[in-house]
Amino acid sequence: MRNNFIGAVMISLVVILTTGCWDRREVNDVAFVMGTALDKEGDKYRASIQVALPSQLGGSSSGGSGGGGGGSGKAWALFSKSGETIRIANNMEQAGIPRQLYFAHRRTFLVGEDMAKEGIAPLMDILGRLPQNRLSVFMVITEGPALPYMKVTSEIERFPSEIVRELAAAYMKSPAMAKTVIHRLLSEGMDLAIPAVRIVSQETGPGASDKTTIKMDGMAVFKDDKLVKQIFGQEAEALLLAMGEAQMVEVPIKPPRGKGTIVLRVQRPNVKLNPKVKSPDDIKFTLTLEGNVSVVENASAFDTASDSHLNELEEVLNTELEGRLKDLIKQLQTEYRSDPIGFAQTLYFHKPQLWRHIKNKWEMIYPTIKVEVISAMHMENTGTVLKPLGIQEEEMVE
Amino acid sequence: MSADSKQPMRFTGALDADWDMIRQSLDGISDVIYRELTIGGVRRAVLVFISTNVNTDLIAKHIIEPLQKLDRKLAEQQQSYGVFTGIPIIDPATELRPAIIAILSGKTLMLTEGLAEASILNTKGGKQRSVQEPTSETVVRGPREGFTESLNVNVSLVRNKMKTTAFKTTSFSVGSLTKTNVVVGYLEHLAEPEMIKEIKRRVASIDMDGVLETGYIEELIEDNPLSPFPQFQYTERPDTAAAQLLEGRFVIFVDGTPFVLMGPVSAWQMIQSSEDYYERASIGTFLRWLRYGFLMIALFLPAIYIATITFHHDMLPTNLILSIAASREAIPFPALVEALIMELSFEALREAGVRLPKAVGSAVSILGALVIGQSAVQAGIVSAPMVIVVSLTGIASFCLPRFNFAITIRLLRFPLMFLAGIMGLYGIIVGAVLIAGHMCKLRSVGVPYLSGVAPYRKSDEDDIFVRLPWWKQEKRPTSLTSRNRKRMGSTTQIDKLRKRVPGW
Repeated sequence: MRNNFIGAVMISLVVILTTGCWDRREVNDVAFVMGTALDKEGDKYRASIQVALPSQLGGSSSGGSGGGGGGSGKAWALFSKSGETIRIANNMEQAGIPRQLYFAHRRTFLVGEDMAKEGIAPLMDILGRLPQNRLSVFMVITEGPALPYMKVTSEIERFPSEIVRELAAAYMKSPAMAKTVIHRLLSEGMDLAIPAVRIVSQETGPGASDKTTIKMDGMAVFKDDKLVKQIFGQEAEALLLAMGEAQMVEVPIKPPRGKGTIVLRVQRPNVKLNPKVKSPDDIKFTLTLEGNVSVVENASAFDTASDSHLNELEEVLNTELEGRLKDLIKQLQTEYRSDPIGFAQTLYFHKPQLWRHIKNKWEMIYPTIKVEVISAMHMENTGTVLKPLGIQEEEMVE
Repeated sequence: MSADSKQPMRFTGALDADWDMIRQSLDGISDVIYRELTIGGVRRAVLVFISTNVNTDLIAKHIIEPLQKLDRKLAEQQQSYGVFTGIPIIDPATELRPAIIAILSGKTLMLTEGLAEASILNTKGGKQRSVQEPTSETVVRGPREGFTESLNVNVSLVRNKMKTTAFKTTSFSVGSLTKTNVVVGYLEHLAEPEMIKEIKRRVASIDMDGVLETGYIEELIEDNPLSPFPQFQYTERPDTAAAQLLEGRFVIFVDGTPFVLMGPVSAWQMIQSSEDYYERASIGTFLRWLRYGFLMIALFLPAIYIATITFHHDMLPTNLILSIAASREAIPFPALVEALIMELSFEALREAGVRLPKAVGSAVSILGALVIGQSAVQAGIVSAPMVIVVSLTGIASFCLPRFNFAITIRLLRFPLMFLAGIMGLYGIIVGAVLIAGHMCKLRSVGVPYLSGVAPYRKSDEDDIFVRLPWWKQEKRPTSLTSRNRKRMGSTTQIDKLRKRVPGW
């Protein structure tokens, strides 16, 4: 009995001690990759990785040796190599880094414009194959090459990758992660559109510093896996609205009478697509835009206190949005030949028989379909004041 | 001692011979008093007692005085004089050995000329601690009385709460030298007869020179002596003992200690406090969940911390792992060693705090907080997150109301930390499975340690993960009593009342 017990303890000790520890890796022997920027260089990929430097992060007094010297320098280091594949480039970088590259915490994946134009399908493999590469990484297309984005000098976040991550997470209702990108690439009747970013100066005007930051106000429109066009500003906003991905849109409008500008906010807008098919040559879609509107700023003398005035504002807003969406859809149909709104998919879901029939001819049909845009925004509140503040009763526009 | 010989030595009735016999036995004990008196002026008698152990006032006023003043005629006729004393408890003694034991335990032996039967008069005295508030189990709401070192007081405290003939007590004398009185108490109609028989057998079979505390008995009678888990519960509170009796358990009183053993126990009971039942049910349930949560923290947190920062860096949010990495940047030790240093110094601090006199206690806490908490972090020997983990674990282990269970949890933390340092989360799971397996196998006086959950009993759920209001706990736990399970007359009565009386 006693010998058995001792024997069992010895055996389990041997088993534990000889088999354990093989994958032990202290947190300080690991280099956390915060973001990757990918560019095409001739035949090769240039993979640039941003690695967090914990010693520069400060945090709680990180030991007497550093003297609490956190925050003095950059909290990141950039490593960039080009190789035949992404993995090969990463391995070349690893050779020069004493800590092991660790990709599980990477949430930013920037793809350069040129690289995206050649197609992004080949790089999805490595994202899906290695468990360390998370499919929840945010994919963003940059204007121009991606590498400079890793070096923006804004100090608002600790890493430039973090700026992109935070922006991307709030940009769309279902943010463009690698998994949604793959889903879009593989689903029938829908083209890919993911956020596009550009570098801007952090402040402009005389005496401004040369700090740069990343601005996310665009959409990269794809045809299959190839980038067709990056659109920015109002156009990108319209695309987000049409895709039903817009979080919150603020639209400046001119009041029906009088001078000035009123800013309206559309909250959680919704989109409905309804196909009306008479024949394969006569396909009509109705795109209905719904949402609640509130007045966030009234820089005019227009009285926002009465119901009839609010209805007028609603109408102005609806016409404005309808116009923007119509222009955008026209461009998508004729110029970009891309369908990120998913007309084809709606058709596929509503009329699968018909879709099977016209699937091969869709390229030709798409530019000819008619789309009616109906904006049905509902004015909900005017903020905490009814009438414009700071304007005399008599000066108000009736 | 001559009393050890085969033939028990008996009193003869010849006073001088008997007295000699006693004197031989008690030779060398300086505080023995032999007091001669003449009963009613006709009959010689001698009182034998140990002066430090008895109430001498009692002997003077209620034995010597009434016997000496006894009517001469009466004194001549009598064959026994116990009835003329003012002592309520009198036992006859014909043999030397029990008489000696009685004298040693503070009673007075009366030898009378011509009587072969001596009387043992209970004149127990000496200093006793009064009933005070228990220091090891304090409550905000609940009785403030606690057991004392006197067995009689302790039994009386419980009997005061249990005014029923069903509360049976059986007395044992344990320890060949200490002759400690041990009393097993139970409610006859609730406790399983088999279990009571078994526990009496175990207590009776103890053969040891001395029993000074319940811990001696606990170790000698538990089912699995090698298990780290306590298989009995102890308490200083009469109300807790009474509550256990009401659920069909037994209590074991041991003379000389304010702690009372109770059994059989389940693991669930170990994280219940008597106050759970005194406060509102919702509060009791919340506190119970809190303790379950902190039980898990006390057992697993250091192990999980070690596992995540040496194996599973992907399991923490990015910012958290980065700040942990930042604070660990200058630390020379692997996480396991760092954790061991901190955990061991915490245990040392706790132990020092318990043992030291109160006046020095503050010095310990200053040293602990400053030297270990702050300086070690500043010197870069341990990281700040590790200090947080260790302190949280410490607080968590103090959340467990039963000290013996908390210390088990604290002990089990160390093997889990080693497993985590060697095999990561896989090791923790292995450890957890082993612990769970052991707990499933463990029995306390034949009752499964996890009873209510393993084996599962639906009706016992009322009092394990939640504390249902009393009007919902109609029945006693099945794992303990198979008979007389109804605790409450009829709850429908309460429901009816509530409906009828407005404002209820």
